[in-house]
Amino acid sequence: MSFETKIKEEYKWGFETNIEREEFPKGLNEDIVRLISKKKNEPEWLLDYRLKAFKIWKEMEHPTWQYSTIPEIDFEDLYYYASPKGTKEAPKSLDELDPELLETFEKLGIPLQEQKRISGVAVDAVFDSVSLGTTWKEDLEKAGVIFCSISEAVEKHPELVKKYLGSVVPPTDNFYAALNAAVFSDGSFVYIPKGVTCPMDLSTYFRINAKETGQFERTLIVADDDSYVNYLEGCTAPQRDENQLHAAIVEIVALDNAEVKYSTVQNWYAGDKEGKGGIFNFVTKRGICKCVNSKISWTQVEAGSAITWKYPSCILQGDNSEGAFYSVALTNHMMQADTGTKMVHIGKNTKSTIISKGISAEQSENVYRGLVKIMPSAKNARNYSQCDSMLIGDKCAANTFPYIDVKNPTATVEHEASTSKISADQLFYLQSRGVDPEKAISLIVNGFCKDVFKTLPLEFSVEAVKLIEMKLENSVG
Amino acid sequence: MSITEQVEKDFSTLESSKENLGLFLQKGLPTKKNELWKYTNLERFWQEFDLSKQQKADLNAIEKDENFNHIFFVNGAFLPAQSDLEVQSGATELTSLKHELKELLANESVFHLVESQTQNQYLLTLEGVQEKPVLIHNFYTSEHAKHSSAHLHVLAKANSETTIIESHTSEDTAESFINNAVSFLVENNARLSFIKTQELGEQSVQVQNTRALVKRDGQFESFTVDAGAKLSRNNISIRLDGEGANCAAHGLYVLGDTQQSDTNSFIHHNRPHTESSQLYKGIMNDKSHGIFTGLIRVEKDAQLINSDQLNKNLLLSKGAHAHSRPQLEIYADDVKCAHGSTTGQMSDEELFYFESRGVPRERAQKLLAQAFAYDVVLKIKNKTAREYAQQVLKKNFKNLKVE
Repeated sequence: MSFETKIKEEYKWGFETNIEREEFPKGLNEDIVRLISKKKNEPEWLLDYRLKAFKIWKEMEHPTWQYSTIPEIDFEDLYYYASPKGTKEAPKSLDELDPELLETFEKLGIPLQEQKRISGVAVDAVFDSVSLGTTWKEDLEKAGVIFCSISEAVEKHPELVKKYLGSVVPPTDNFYAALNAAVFSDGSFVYIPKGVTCPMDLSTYFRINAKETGQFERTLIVADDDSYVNYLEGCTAPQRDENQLHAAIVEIVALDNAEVKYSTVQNWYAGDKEGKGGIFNFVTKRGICKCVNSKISWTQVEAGSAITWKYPSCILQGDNSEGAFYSVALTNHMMQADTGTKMVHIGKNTKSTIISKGISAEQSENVYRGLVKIMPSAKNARNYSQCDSMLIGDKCAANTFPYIDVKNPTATVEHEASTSKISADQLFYLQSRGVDPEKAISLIVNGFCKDVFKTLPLEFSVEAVKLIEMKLENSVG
Repeated sequence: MSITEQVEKDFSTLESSKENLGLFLQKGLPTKKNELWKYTNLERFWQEFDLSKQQKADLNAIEKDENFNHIFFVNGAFLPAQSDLEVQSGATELTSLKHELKELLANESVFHLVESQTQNQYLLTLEGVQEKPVLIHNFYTSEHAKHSSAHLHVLAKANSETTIIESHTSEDTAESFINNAVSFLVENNARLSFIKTQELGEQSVQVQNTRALVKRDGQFESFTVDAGAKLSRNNISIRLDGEGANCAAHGLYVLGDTQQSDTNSFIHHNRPHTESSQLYKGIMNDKSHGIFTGLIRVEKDAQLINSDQLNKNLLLSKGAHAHSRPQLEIYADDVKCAHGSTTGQMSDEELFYFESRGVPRERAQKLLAQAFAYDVVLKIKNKTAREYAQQVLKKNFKNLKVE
């Protein structure tokens, strides 16, 4: 059976915005770190934090454990800071922004103005390295929720940032965490005070625009006792021939009875059919359920990036805390995705759920890599993992590497995984009822991912389905 | 003295093959940095042994069960007088068999160490349908041998059918470091079943390297029972190298005290239309550790594959640990591969069921543990061999005490 390509859909978000921008010289050294810090008027303690991280990074070696083959990255040939000109002074309102910038976001499908009115989702947009503007600020302030760029948070709420920054992902954690800690430029900061259910979903949109730029943003979410927040994140980048680096950190702290839901749709430029260009997406995401009854859930749809390493993890420290990981990773062309999760059970009666769906098409490689660790203290811990892979085409690969370490006899841990191709029976069934092959495949794939899609917030769920359809359009042959 | 220096010194007295020794020295003993040896520190056990004391010993009284054909090895050396079947050493077929299997376990430095000793290399050739299972006795004495190493090659000729049991026992006080290898070449349409039972004394360490190359329509079954030794490590590498070939690799580890058992299996689907199935179960008591790593790889053009793998662990006490890593590497699209892993304790409901019917808790626990284990033993097709494995388990369950 052969399915002819109907449409050659190119990367829809591959445009570049012509905006004058300000950037530092290429390369990374102590001076650049100082310059970034100075630029952002940072206090002494943060500069020290950056310099310490830089020292740690310099002594680290680039990891070699990975399954994917990556070309060597020249860290001296990158710009570590780029900002749209004119944002030296933080814009007071969105109206003050460069109209061309706003148009960019419009093209991306996040009309900040519109979204304000219609969806009621508060958006913080990060363009290259600088946070542009946050909508719905006042309404959030009324509820006591702090949602701003991390630079602003350093200025206005230093005690909170100082207490939690690096507490979940310390600079010593890994190579890219150290790099990010040294040069992180901006990102979002969220604080939900005690007893508050965040009145609306929070959202960040990331975009890499400038050439030869690395984007290093940092997100810190702190949910105080009895609070709740739903956080969304989306990303795109222009189409370029050379590879670009994205090394971000996301930290989540959930205190007593708090619940944080974090959803991502990642669609960085993935390079062309020959594997030229694309984003290297090396991200450290980790949440800690610090106190009793807290919950963290990660939902991700990974559809972009030339190479992805991403393991959103949960440390279940508080008794009765719960962690969840739902993921759909789709790879086509020459993409390599190595993603999964870590669930570390420390507290009593902790629970975790892992649902991972990998779809590999064309010549791509899709890896699930995960760790479930039950410490001796985690009495009655419970884990359920399911990782399914689907293969489309005979040149792609799907791998599964779970690690399961159980050190407490009262724990119950289950893991199951399967790999197969789209069933010919299902295809035949749909086709015999007049559904064309492309539609049929898209239906089957969406059904395959249903468990994950249903955990996404509504607007993302629609976007995710479309994204998968579009990506598969020219992959099926 | 470093380990490499020690090996060079100890091996200088032995007749050994330079090339393999070179390969071993180049890689050294596996460390924790090697992902496949992440949980087992071989170096810790290694230093207690002296390689230069490798000596032959004889067996005195032997009782032979008539249901089997017997072959005897003591401290890795063949005893021709007592054995029913002949094993050859130094045959030309041995060289060609070695050549065919040379890619299997090529990254395992401990395997090169076995290969570097040329004196204990044997070949067993099997033809036709063997009614009686072959029972290979491996016995290790406490007095003479500190280190024992032997490599048995089995050539299962086309259309042959055989069951082989390899039993490893030792004197209770033996402190042997046993580093063995078994290599199988299963020719077209041959059937071979290999059952290894290990009940070594608690001071012994065993590393067993099992390799099998299965040709067209060949069937290979490997079954491992590990009940003794303070450390047992199984390196299993099976390649399905012909259409219609299939294999099964099953195992059971029943551990107590501070025992550790580490299984690393690799099933390589190199040709289309091949099948494999695996079931590994562990029962861990006291402070024992059970480790399972299983990788299934399906090559690029090996379509129409069926493969499944399951690892189940039963933890019986507070200090017991289970590590499980079921892995898949798939490069073909028309495949059905699945793996699973579970770890847990005995279900309270099942225990309650027994107790409410007047069965004391201790006895109920024993019964449940046995039931958990026998499920694997039932996978052995040959009746005589299955009964043999059941006897071995029964002996070991006698002392099982659940916390």
